[in-house]
Amino acid sequence: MNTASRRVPTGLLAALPLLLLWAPLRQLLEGSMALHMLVELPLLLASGWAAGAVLAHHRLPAGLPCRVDAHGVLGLAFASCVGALWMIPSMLDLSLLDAGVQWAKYGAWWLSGVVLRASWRRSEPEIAAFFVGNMAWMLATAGLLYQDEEQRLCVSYLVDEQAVAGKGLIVLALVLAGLALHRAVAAPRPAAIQPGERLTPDAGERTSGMIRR
Amino acid sequence: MPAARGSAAAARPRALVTTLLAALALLVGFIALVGQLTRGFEYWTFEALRRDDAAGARLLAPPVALSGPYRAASTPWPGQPGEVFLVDFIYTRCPTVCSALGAEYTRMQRALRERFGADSPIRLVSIAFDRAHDTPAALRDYGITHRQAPELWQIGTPVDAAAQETLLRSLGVVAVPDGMGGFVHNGAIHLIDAGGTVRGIYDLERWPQALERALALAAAGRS
Repeated sequence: MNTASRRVPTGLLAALPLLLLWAPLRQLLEGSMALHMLVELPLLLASGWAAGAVLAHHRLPAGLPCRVDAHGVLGLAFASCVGALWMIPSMLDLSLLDAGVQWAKYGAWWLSGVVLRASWRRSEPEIAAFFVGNMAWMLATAGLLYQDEEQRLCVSYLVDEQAVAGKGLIVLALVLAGLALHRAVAAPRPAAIQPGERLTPDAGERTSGMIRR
Repeated sequence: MPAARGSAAAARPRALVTTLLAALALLVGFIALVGQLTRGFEYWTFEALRRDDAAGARLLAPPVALSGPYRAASTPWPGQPGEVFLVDFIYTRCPTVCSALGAEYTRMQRALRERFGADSPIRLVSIAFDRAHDTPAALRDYGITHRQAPELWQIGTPVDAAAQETLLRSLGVVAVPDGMGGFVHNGAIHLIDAGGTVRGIYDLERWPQALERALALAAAGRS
């Protein structure tokens, strides 16, 4: 697929949240806890990621400035905070019962997708693996809690849906753990650097993912 | 360009320090936000927050018009000083918790009659939310099943969908279809004072405590 033909689906994915203005789709996605947590929220993140690509293509700001996001740390931390916030059961309920919280949720997940794209590219494998590993651990903890809790944690969902969402979160945690491992292990390693040889500043930018010695 | 290279090299540690400070600020802000949302990391569910609101008298029930089994009437609040209402939310086809609530209300009604006769400052209110099925006839049958005395126990359903939405939203009562034609809802006893402020939310099995608190509030309101 060439660049131009890739640009169309990316643009469509970036504009995906506009579909949430259509109430029946919103109700479908948010009517089930599993769809809400495992489809809607990741799709918003992916949409933000795609929007980042569109912005970058048009040479518009598409991430945090380098001076506050060295190695992608701030962007990865921001995305982790957004992820953690929406694991809290009361936030899920409030996003269904309070319009302000609902749109804050859409905005936060979409924005974290935009930020994450740039920060992910800046991050080195160890740093990316640290944040993704932490997110996987957090999802697995939330998933186990949702799966085993006999009381309803959200007034908007049934206990059965809660258990299904919990299982889904555990699967997602395993996928993320695999991603963290892959990023850490499969990253390209630098060739042996001879004593006295130095990486130039430009090379440092180009070799994102390399371990500098 | 050694000078440019040197300044770029100097900028990298500066960027790292700025980044770490910004990340720390983000973390502190995030912890503060979660602390605020969970009221000191104590209440993590909507229901827990709702009950804390009730305990702190921060939950207000707006008065709405109800249609009852025999005639239309408004919610009894706002009422006279010293009046207190024990309010539950039901649907008449409910085979489980609403029937249990009905049975407990029958017991509370008996306790109120023994103590105050027909002129009780504490009254029971059951609000039915299944508008499609909670017809006047269904409400009448529910009342007959649970030996409702209209002077002590008011049963009704909001007159229209907007009134129901207003009342249930204000109180944070959520009814979710259970997939079998019924509903799962946060069915509890709401203690509401004469001004419409919710003063406590009690689980079904804690109805004696709800009644005791209602008696104390009624006595305090009259003195």
